[in-house]
Order: sequence, then C-alpha cells, then structure tokens
Amino acid sequence: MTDPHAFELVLHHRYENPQPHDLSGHGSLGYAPAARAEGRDGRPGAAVFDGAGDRVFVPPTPALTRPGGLRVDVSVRVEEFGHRRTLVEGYLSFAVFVERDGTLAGSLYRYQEWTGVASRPGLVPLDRWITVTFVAASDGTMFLIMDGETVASAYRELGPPAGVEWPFGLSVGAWPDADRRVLKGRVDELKVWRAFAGPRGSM
Amino acid sequence: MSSVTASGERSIAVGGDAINSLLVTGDNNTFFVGRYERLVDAYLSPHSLYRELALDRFTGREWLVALVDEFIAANDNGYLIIEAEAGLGKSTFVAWLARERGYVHHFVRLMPDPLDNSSALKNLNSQLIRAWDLHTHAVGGVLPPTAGRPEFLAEVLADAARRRDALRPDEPLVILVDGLNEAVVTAGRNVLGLPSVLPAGVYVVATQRPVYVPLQVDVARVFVRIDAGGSSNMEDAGEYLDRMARSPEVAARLAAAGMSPEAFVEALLRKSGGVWIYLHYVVWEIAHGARTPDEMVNLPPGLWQYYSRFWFERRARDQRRWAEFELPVLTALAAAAEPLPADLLARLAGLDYAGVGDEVAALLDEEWRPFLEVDESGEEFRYQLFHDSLREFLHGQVDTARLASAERSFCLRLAAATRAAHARIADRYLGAWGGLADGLPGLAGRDLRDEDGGYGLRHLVEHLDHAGRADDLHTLMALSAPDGTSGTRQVNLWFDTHRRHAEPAAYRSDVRIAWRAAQRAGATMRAVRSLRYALIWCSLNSRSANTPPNLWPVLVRSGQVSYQEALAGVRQIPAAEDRAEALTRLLDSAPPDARRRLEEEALASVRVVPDRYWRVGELWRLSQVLSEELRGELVTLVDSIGTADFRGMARELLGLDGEAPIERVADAFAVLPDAADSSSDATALAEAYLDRRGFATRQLHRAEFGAAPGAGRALAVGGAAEQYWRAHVLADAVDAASDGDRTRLAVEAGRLGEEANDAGEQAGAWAALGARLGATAVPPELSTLRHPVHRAVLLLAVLAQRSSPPVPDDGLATDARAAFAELPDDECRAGVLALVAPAVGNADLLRDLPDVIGDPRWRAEALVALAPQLTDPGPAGVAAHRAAGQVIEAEVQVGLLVRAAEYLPVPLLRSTLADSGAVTDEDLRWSLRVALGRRWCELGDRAAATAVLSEVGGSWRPHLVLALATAAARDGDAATALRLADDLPHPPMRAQAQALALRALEPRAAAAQLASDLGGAASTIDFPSAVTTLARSAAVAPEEYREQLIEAARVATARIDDQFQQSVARRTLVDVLVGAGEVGAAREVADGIVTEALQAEAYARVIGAADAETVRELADRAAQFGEPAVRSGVREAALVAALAGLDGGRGVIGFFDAVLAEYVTRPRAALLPAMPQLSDAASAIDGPEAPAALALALADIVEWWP
Repeated sequence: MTDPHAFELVLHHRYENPQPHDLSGHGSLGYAPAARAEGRDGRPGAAVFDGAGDRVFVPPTPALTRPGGLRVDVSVRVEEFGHRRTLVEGYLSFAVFVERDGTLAGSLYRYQEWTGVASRPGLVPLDRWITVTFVAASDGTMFLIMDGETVASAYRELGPPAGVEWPFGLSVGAWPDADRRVLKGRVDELKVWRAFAGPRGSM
Repeated sequence: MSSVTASGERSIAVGGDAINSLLVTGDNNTFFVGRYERLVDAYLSPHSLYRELALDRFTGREWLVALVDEFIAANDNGYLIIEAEAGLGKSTFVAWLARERGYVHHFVRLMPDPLDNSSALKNLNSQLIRAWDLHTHAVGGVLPPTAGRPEFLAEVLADAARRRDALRPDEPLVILVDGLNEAVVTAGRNVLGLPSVLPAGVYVVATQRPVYVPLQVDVARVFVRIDAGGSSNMEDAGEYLDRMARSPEVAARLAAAGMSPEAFVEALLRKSGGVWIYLHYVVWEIAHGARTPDEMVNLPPGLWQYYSRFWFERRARDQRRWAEFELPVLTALAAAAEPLPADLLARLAGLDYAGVGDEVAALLDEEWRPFLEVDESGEEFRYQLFHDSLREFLHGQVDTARLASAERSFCLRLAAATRAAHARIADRYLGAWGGLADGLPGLAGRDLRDEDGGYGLRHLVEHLDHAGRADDLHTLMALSAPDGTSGTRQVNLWFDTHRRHAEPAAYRSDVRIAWRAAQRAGATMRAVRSLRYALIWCSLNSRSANTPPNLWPVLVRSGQVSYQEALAGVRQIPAAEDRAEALTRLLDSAPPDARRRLEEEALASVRVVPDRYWRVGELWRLSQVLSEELRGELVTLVDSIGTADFRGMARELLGLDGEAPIERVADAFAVLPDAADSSSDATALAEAYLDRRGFATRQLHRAEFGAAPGAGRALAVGGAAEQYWRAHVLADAVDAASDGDRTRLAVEAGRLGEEANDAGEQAGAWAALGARLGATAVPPELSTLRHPVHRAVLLLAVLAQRSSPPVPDDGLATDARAAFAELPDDECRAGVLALVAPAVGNADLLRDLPDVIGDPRWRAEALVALAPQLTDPGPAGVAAHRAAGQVIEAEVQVGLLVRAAEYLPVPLLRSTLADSGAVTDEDLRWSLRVALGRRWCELGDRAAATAVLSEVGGSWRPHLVLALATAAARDGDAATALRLADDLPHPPMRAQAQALALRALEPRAAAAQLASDLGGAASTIDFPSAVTTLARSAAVAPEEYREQLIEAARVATARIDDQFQQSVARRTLVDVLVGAGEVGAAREVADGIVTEALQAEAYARVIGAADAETVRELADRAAQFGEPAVRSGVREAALVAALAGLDGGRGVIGFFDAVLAEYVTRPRAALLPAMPQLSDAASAIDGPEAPAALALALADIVEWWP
C-alpha cells in the first residue's frame, strides 16, 4: 500500500471491562482502571479516570512499535481542565491532549522535537462526550478533528511518525512515564490506526 | 577536591606543575568505548622519556623556538606542524618545550596501545582539566569514558580557553603532540581525533615525519621542515657536539686519542649528516669507551647505515654468541609489546638456562644501554627500545635503497629474525595452550594471569599480526568451543577466555587488531573479514546494552559473575544514564577495598549523563549512597548542570544553599505551585525520573509481563527492548522471590541480558544474504542453521533466485519447503514470506507457499505481501480476497480486503462494495470503500469510483477525491480535476491535484491557474505548511512551471523563523530540487539545515544524484555530525553511490570502511539492516564468493552471541 492515507486498524478498545480486548485482532491489549461508568449514548461502559493515578496501559506490540502513518480516534468526556490532560500518548511517538484552557492538541515526536497542531482555546467542552481524531500521515499531513469538524491542521514533512517505544508503550488518559497530566473524565472507545505493513511473525 | 590555582607568567605554568605531580599507568581502551580513569592514571608522564632524552644536554633550536613563537603571534589559533625524518630530534625538542614552558603535551610513543587513540585524548584532557581547574569534567578526579572521544577534547578545550580568557587573557594555550605519523588513523577522523576547529588563542604544535597524516582543519596550519643537512640543523648539531666534546667523559677520550674537539665535531657531523639520534648513539659509545675516537673514521654515513654497521659488528665480534644469545634478545626486544623485565625477555627470546636473566640484564645495562629506555619505577627494571627508528630498522621498515648490498642483506635477515621472534612468542603461547590446529584445548579452565603476568592473553594476537600469520590470527579469532554452562551451543573460545579473566577491553583490542589485519592491503576476503569483525564488535555492544542496571548487582549476589566481571561489563554500557545507574547500584556489591574507587567512577559517570533532569536524577540517586568524604564532589556535579532551574533544584535537594538536605524527593516538589504543569515543569520531571524504572516495572507487572517470551498476554514479539525489560522485571523480582526461585530468576535474567535479542534483524540479514547467494548450492553449515526462522528465510531467499521453471532439484527446493513447513505457526510463515518476497525481487517461485498456511488470516497476509513481487499479482489478490472472506474477525477482514483491493478484478470490486454495507464500523466501512474506489480509478473507471465517493464520508473522503482528480488529470479532463481539487480540504492535496491539472490546460490558462493556486497557498496557511504545499505541487507540475513553484517554496522557507521548522522545510525543498535535477541548489539548501539528522538525510538525498566531487565532499562532511547513526546515513548513501559508479575513483573500499567505522558504538541490531548494501560492497571488493562467506560469518557470530 503506497497511499499515505491508507490505514490499518491496529488497536480498537471499548472499555466495558477492566482488561479490554483488542477488537482489531493485533493483540494490543489494554490494562485499565477498575472504575466504570456509563458510556457515550448510553453504551454499557466507559473507563473512568480520576485525574490522579488512573490510566489504560497498553504494552508495546509490533503493530504499535513500527513506524508509519498514524490515526487516533478517541471518544472522551473531559470533566475538568486545571492543567494539561492527556487523552492518549504513545511513548516517544505521539500525543493527543487537552490544555488547561480547553485547547485540543496533537503532536508528533520526530528528530527529538515535538511538532504539533492545536485548536483554538476553549474548544473542548466539559462534561460532554466528544470524538477526537488525530491524523499524522507519512506525507506530512497532520490534522485534528472534533466531532467531524477539522479544528486544526498543519503540513510538515517530518517523515513517518515514530513507533511507540518501550517500556511505557501506549498510555490512555495519562502521561506514559509517570502519574502526571492525568485525565479527569471518561473514555469509552479508542481506535489507533497505522500505515499498512506486512506481518512480522514470531521472529 | 584538589584545586590548582593559575598564576605566573609562563603559559599554563601551573598546569605544568600540576602535571609534574601526576603518576603514570597503562590502559587498554578502545577509541570509543572507554572506561573510567583517574586523572592521574590517564596522564602519560614523559619523565622517563625526559631522562632518556637527556634534556639537560639540550642544545640549539633557538630558530625553531622563534618559529613557534612567531606562529603563535601571527595567528589567532592553529596548527604548527614540524616535519622531519627519523632521528632529527623532534621528540627531544617537544620534550624540552613541554618541560621548559609547561605546555600540555602528548607523546605518541608513550601510548600503552598504539591502536588506542583514546589514551591520547585522555592524556590531553587530564592535563587540561588539571591545569585549568576544570573539575566539572572529572568529578572526583575521575575521567568519564567519553574522555577518550574527540568531542570531549573539543569541549574541554573550549572551557579551558574560556577560563584562560578570564584569568590570563593574553596567554596562548599550547598543546604539544609528538609523533603524529606514529598514531593509527581512524577512518574519517583526524589523526588522534584532534579537532578541526580550535578556540581563539589555542595552538597545537605537532611533529611528524614527512608522510601523509590525515588532519583536516578549519584554522591556520603551517608546516616547518627540519632538513638534516640544512644549515640551521647542522649548526645546532655542531653546537651540541662541541658541548659534548668538552664534557669530562668525552674530552678525556679525545685527549687520549690525540683528537681535537674540533676534529671530533667535524668528523661526527659529517658522518651523521645532522641526524641527532646518530649523534646520541656515538657520543654514548665514545663516552663509555665502546668506540674510540679513532674508530670514528669507520662510521658509515646515515642512521640506517649506522644501525646496520653496529649490529653487523656485534655479530662479527662473536658469531656464535650473536646467533645463540644476542640476536634472540635483540629481536625479542624489537617484538615486545610492552616494557619487559630481563627474565621474561629471555624466555620470549627462547633462552632457558640458569642465570640467563642476569646475563640478559647485563647485556642490556652495560652494552646496549643507549638503545634502550628503562623503566625503573617498579620492583624490577623493565626494558624497551628507546627510539622508534631502531624498532623500524629491526622490522625491515627502512629504505633499503640507501644501503649497500651487504647491509641490505643483513637488514633483511634481521627483519626475518624479528618476524620469527614474533612467531616464536606467539607459538610459545599457542603451544602452551594445546596448539591452534587442535583448537587450543589447554585454555579451558586455565588462569592466564599466572603465565608471564598475562602477557600472552594481552598480546598473542598482536604477535600473530606482526609475524604475518594472518590466517592463524583469523583462525584464533574464529575458534569455537562448547559452552561450558549450557553445553548446547558453541562459544567463541578467545572471547570466552577473556570473559573469564574479566578482560573485555583486551578482547576488543584483539578484535580491532584482527579487523585492521583484515583491512591490510593484499589481505584476502578483505571486506568479508572486516564485516565479520564489525559484527563481532557490534555483538559485544549489544551484550553491554542489553543488561539493565538493576541486574548487575543481582548477578554478583547470585554468584553468576564476579564483582570485577560486573564492573567490566558495566563500563561497557553505552547509554550514559544506564551506566551511571548501574555503577551506583553496584556500590553495595563492591568489596570494601574497591568501594571508594567505584564511588569515584560513579561520580564521573554522572557527569556525562545528558544534562537536565537525567543528570539531576542520577546525581540524586548517587547522593543517597555516597560516602561522606566524597560528598563535597557533589558540588562539582551540580555546577556541571547547564540549566539554571535544574541546577537550583539540585542545590536544594542537596542542601547546598545552607538548608538541610531534603530527605525525600517528594518533599522537594511539595512547595511547587503547580508541579503537574507549569513553568517549573522541567523541575518536576526529576521526580518522575527517579521512579521511572519502578513505574515501568509496575505497569509491566499489571500487564502480566513474565519470564518467558509470550508469557504476557500482549507480548508476542519484542526484540531487544522487550528482552531488556523482561530482564529488568526479573531482576526486580529476585529479592522478593523465595530461596528456590531466586537463583532461577537470576540465571534467567542473566541469560536474557547476555543475548543480543535481534532475531528480527537477523532474519532480515538472512533474507538479504540469501538473495545474494544466487542460485548456487547452499553451504551445508547454512542449511542447518539452528534458528528455524533464519533457516527458512535463507533457503527460500536462495530458492527464489532460481530461474523458472526450476533447475533440476538438488534438494534445495525440498529443504526450503520443509523449512517453511516446520516454522512454528502460520503467523510466522506469513511473516517469513513478507520478509523474503521484497528481498528477492521476483517471488514467482514462492507463489504457492501460502497454500501451506492454514489460517485464512495469515494466508491472506502472505498473499498480499507476495502480490507486488509477482509477475502477475492478480491471482494472489483474488486468493487473498477469498482467504479474507474466511476470516471471522470483521475488523481484521476489512484490513485484509483493503490491501487486496488493489489487485482485484471488477466483479470482485462490485461484490465487495455491495458487501461493505454490512461493516458496522463507519470508519472501517469508509476506509474499505476508498480502497475500492481507488482501484476503480486505476482501472480507468472514474464513473464507478465517483459512485463510490457518494458512499464515503468523514476524513476518509479526501483520499478518494484526490485519486479521482489524479485520474481526471491523467485523462486530460482538467476541468473535473480542478473541480475535485476545490473539494479537497488539505492544501497539499489540493495543490497536488491542481498541479496535475496544469498538464491538461492550455499554457495561458495554466499560467493563470498557477498564479491563482500560488496565491491561495501563500495566503491561507503558515509558512512551513506553504512549503509543504508548494513542494507537493512542484513535484508533479509540468517542468515549465516547476521553477516558479520552487522559487515560491524558497521564499516561504526563508520566512520561517523557527530554526527547526525551517530545517524541516529545507529538507522538503531538497527533495524537490533533487527531483528537478537541481543538485547544486539542493546542496546549498541542505547546507543551511541546522538539525543534524535532517541535514544528514538531505545530504544522503543529494549524494544519490550528485557528481563524484560532491559525493566525496558530503561523505567527508558526515564527520561533523555527532551521532554515529546520523553519520552512517550519509556514509551509506556514499557507499551506494560508489557501487553505482558515482564515486569518481575513490573506490568502494574507502566508503565501505567508513560505513563500518560508524557502527563501532552501536548494537548489532543497527548493523544488520545495512547488510544489503554492505554485502553488495563486499562482493564488489572480494568477488562473488563474498555473500557465502558473509553468511558463514553471520552463522558463527549469531551462534556465539545469540
């Protein structure tokens, strides 16, 4: 597949249970906080993040650690700002977060620099379910969508986004390497897509 | 903390005083991977050399001193190179200058290992640090391992210059280096790693023989030549002789012979031709009565003739004694790799009888004294040859054209005898250890430290090299032996012997010698052997990097390694923060008498941890366990922190501002107003740093991350990083485990740490090598590779090279298919095919292998991976579609259909589109429809694709719009293309579609359209985005409009303020310019990039299209990049250019060597992916046998270091 915007779903979580299966079939299992609450549109369950120590930890898998184009869809309800709140972050790879002023932002880690896009302040509402999409294609297209509307975009040829690194892997609702920037709110669904690649097998 | 106060008039006179107080010891480091050393140990004291050079008799050279001073006065900085042939007093001059003026100095001849440039840099650094009180570079008086790297010297020099500017701004800072030509050169670097740029007021005065020495500098460089027969030199020599003639010893001899001092001077001056070492020898002979003044008439002219005559006369004096005693001692001296006591010299000379040691000592002390340098500092005198010219003479490294035939013949016989001495010494050890042919069985369980003080372990390889026994050398390095621990695999015997003796650095030194032997002119299989040693070297790097810091004390406590072995291993850890942590953690395991030294090392290690919170974190970790008497050194460490807020935090943590130290880190952050996210964010990060390993461990525990691969539910494949953390988690678990489990866990963790864990990269290397073996028979050693994946990859890659239909089956096809079938599971089979197919190019012979795969998911994966490599991919696409249809998981199925879509025929496209309505997830459904629509576009059916577009929404829609616009432009339908372009939300996509549409427009309309497009691009987005947009447009626009687009991109690039963002834009621009054939302009744009990695990528891109001169120039410029991974990208591009014939005559070999040199600090996993180009280069250098030989080498190495 040479299309930089063709993506393979490599992680798909619905947080009805504490250890969500990966519906994408790539084994990207999540280890989530125990608390549950009602999800979006009355769906049966969402992971609750207390803003202090909760997170969903996804250990690195081959599908996550490989470099290449990236798309993240997360269904989230933010209940408090106060400081930066992580929605989802891949260690040394990418981050999607909400700033203290309600700005929605996404960024990539390339060449030892974070480069990103950010919406206008005040965009993210409190206590309302939203769907956030962050796309960073290998052709340099980077944009953020909230509820179907593009809210920020930029175009930088940074090459293929880096893979998620060990040991902190993918972290939902918190900074990967410490209990910081923790989300206060709920997440009921997460999809991570990456550019297509062949199977690696158990080498 | 010791301190040296600068004062006085002489240039760094205080430095000289400080230096004089230092001691000298040896070292055996590599250039890049060093160890910690105390300043005093790093200093190579020239005091014994001063004595041997008899500096108190130094005479003349005022003219040379004046030249040095004039150079310093006339230049802001720079290099003054003094060139002269052997024996003209270069070393004496430098020694005198160093002693008289207290200049920083380095004598190459004093380096304990001539191959080890790091000792030179450490020597200079230790002096600069002491002289200028730069103790943040050597906390606790200990140099970090990086002190052996050129970058460290540059940093120290800069700080020294700053300090000089502050204290004595008018003083020049002068560094003396004697014997540049004697140093071993590292590819792509200046000799000894000397800097190309010097701070203002810094000068290097160096000596060398008149030969080429690589020294590229960006400052003034002036050469001064001492001609032996020149008037200045002859006047100096005459003055010296006149002084000697009036010395009591010589004057008495002259008087007894009735020779006037003037006649003595005149005669000896004429005979010597102004060669000072000649004068040194003869004056000693006269003074000691070994030669009478009358006999001077018989002296030959010239140094080589003198040596020849002297030793010839020794032989003539007593031929039997010469043959049986003197010649063996002389050649043993010539061969000896370090100063040796007389009795060991006798043994190495093959002399074995009572009293021989005393007899040798008497000969050396009484008759050969002028030729020797004697180290009298230890319990016994140690001897070595005084002047390199004699060593060279005895090795036959002389210009024999200047010798008479009898002298030439004698000289050649001496060289042969010296070579034989090397061989005799080598055989002494090889024989003692059971013989090389038998695989040295005597090495097992033997303590080599008890034999000749470990001389054989240290120098056997060197002697084999000098004996010209390259085959034996390579055989030794390739010896295998059963692993005494597991018994199931082979280990490298020579490595294992060094490991047992805790001498990893000595083994590395041997690898380096063997590597250099492989590179020698005329060596057979030069490239293959070089790559073999590079693989060994990188395997050692992998071992060092893969053992986590918390595992080392566990290994010591469980008795798996000794403390010394652990320390040796820790010193090799490449990541500074890991090394610092490991040293700190090892403190509890240190024997009482070693603890202080280890604490000093740990202090030094923290100094080179990357600045900011990494360094603060390691400082804090160490401060918890540091002895009270060394706590003062923490102040120096704090001062080394570059960022003010981190420095302030460290001071607060340690209570350096008067308050009591904070007991717990959390207390340090309690007062912060917003620790989670504020301007003091950087400070708060330190807390997380301290707990980051523990935090990671807790997370991994939650993920049921266990001992065996795959034990954690989420962890199927990981590689080195996964194994590293697995070892880490196991090591953490040891203390809490029951007695029974503790040892088992420790052993398992230790095993994980010892492995390279690069099976995936190995598989890639096997595919590359297999694809290059051609259709030849696979060597039996390879067809039985232990690892099933590697065996299957190799055999399939070879099989695929065969023509279709296959040649008569020699069993390869059967073996390959059997190996494929024996793979552990279907996922693995799919993975192997995905790996092999792109490597072989034509995979038609593999097309039926997916049939073996039972699981439809992995069969479909294999088919879509194979399809692009097949002559006719259609059937594979259809088969993949069929297999995907059998996959139960809907989301997996869609992903497979998306990939299969690009090979599907129309009927399957239609049915798949119809079925797509059943996909409940909107994103998945749209992604599939986009793939189907794109396929219709490729097939030329825009109407069908347009119909699909109506069923796609969200952010997926633009991709199909772009495909449709592209198809319209291709069909000449500009209007549709432009209309579709207007529907594209992203400017780069829109610009691409518009540029394609230009092709279908009339020139006038195209020009108007372009002007409109340009205006749009510039007005609606930021400058970096505009560059991306314009570049995308330029890449596809008709040639006549391209320049205008490129110019607009240039203008936008120039208006970007942020340096990193501008570098990104420049990198984009380089691609466009190279694509447009404007290579020179691309080069200029690349030169302006400030981010190294981006600039290196840009250079690599330029190299692929550049002329020979640019290829060479950019390859050389790679040396300026700090990161080896960045440098190697440029050098590999140059190698590929060379293989394509673009090198302009420099040859593949130079680039090949330069590429390999960039891997010396990196793990094997980094080197293996370069195997395709390295194998191609090896074939170009060594011939068609290279891939098979490389494959055999790789098989050995992955067996030794799995």
